[in-house]
Amino acid sequence: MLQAALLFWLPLALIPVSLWISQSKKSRNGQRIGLILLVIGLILVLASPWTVPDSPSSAVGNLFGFILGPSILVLFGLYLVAYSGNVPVGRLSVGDKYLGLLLFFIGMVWFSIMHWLDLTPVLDSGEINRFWLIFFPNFLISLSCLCLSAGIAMLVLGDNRSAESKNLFFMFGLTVIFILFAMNIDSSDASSNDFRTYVWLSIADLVGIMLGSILAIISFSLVIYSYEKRLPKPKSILPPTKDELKHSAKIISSNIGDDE
Amino acid sequence: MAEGKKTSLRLVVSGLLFPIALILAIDYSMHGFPDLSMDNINPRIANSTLTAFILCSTFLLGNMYFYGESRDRPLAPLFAMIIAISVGFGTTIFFIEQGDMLLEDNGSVIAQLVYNISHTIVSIFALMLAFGIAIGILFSSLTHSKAKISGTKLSEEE
Repeated sequence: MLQAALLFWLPLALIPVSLWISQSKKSRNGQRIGLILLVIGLILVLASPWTVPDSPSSAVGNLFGFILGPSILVLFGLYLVAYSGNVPVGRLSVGDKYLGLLLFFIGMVWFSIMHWLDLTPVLDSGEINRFWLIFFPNFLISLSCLCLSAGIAMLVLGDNRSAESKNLFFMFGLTVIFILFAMNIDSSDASSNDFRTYVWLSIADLVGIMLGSILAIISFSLVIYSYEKRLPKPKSILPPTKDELKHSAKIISSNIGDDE
Repeated sequence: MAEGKKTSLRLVVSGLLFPIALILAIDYSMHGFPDLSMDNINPRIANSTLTAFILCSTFLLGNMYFYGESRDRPLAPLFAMIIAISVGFGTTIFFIEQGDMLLEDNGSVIAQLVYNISHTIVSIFALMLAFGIAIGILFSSLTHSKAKISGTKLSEEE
């Protein structure tokens, strides 16, 4: 148990802490230390199937090891595509756009193969990593919900964005079709019936996560609200005099280069 | 104007829920309810609610320290902690009263606790990855769209 705490849980806790430290703008050392801690934490979590093979928690490290590759490919691919378009600074070349599309496509196909073929995350005991059966349905359901919602947001909040929203609707359709296929056709390692069960349970998970997060936000908002309500009103000051207004106008005009 | 904005937001929120309803409706019409009883689903919702509450509260508690410091309210984090513990306690009692069900396939409370945290981390990672992909597609679509203001129109306006 102590071994699992030192070689899995401590490095796992180190990841958000190091991210927090790396965001510190007070010193450059903080950023470097944060980055080093992040790499150490990541390596130790990914190595947990070997360092603490007997701990059930190491299955999380096993899962992260399996999904790290396609996740990086998909996200890096999207980064290349996004920054090869009309961005004001740091624009990438057209070649990067096609490379990004290729990486995104390979990443998504990799995820699909992990479900349908023999690349499914399997533990040393030979059974499917149960966290994969939690991760994958959650990922697919979240992706379909977010893509549809973002597509609708583009249509109703944006100005004439129907052409752009099509990509998001296409992704939503593709994800829903994938889920429905997986719920009806057996893959090489998991039956469609098992997948159905995990989809229903994933929806229960998402409902629970939403409920828990909303409860926490409401609890803390109550404290802030009660404090803010009791704050004294700021003291009102006299309106500026003509001389003060003239002085401000002079400063503004000298800064914006106005002749008048 | 405000009513139009409200309707738009309702549409966006319904977009979040529609795929879940669609998948469940299609699956239910094809195969009926899966081999799951409420005894399986309830602990799942209860455990993920409590774990998400704990993780989210821990994160927000860190922010409360900064809030207390900036507003000169040193007791703010303490009050927040008391309220969070009370809400968590109340929620736990509510879920336990639904039946002796918070233990899933795990043998002890500690094993269940560790499993819950791992489970929620995996679920949140899935959610974050999906969020990153959706935002990436949205951003890519926007940066590759045709300019809405043409050069001639700009020069005309000038």
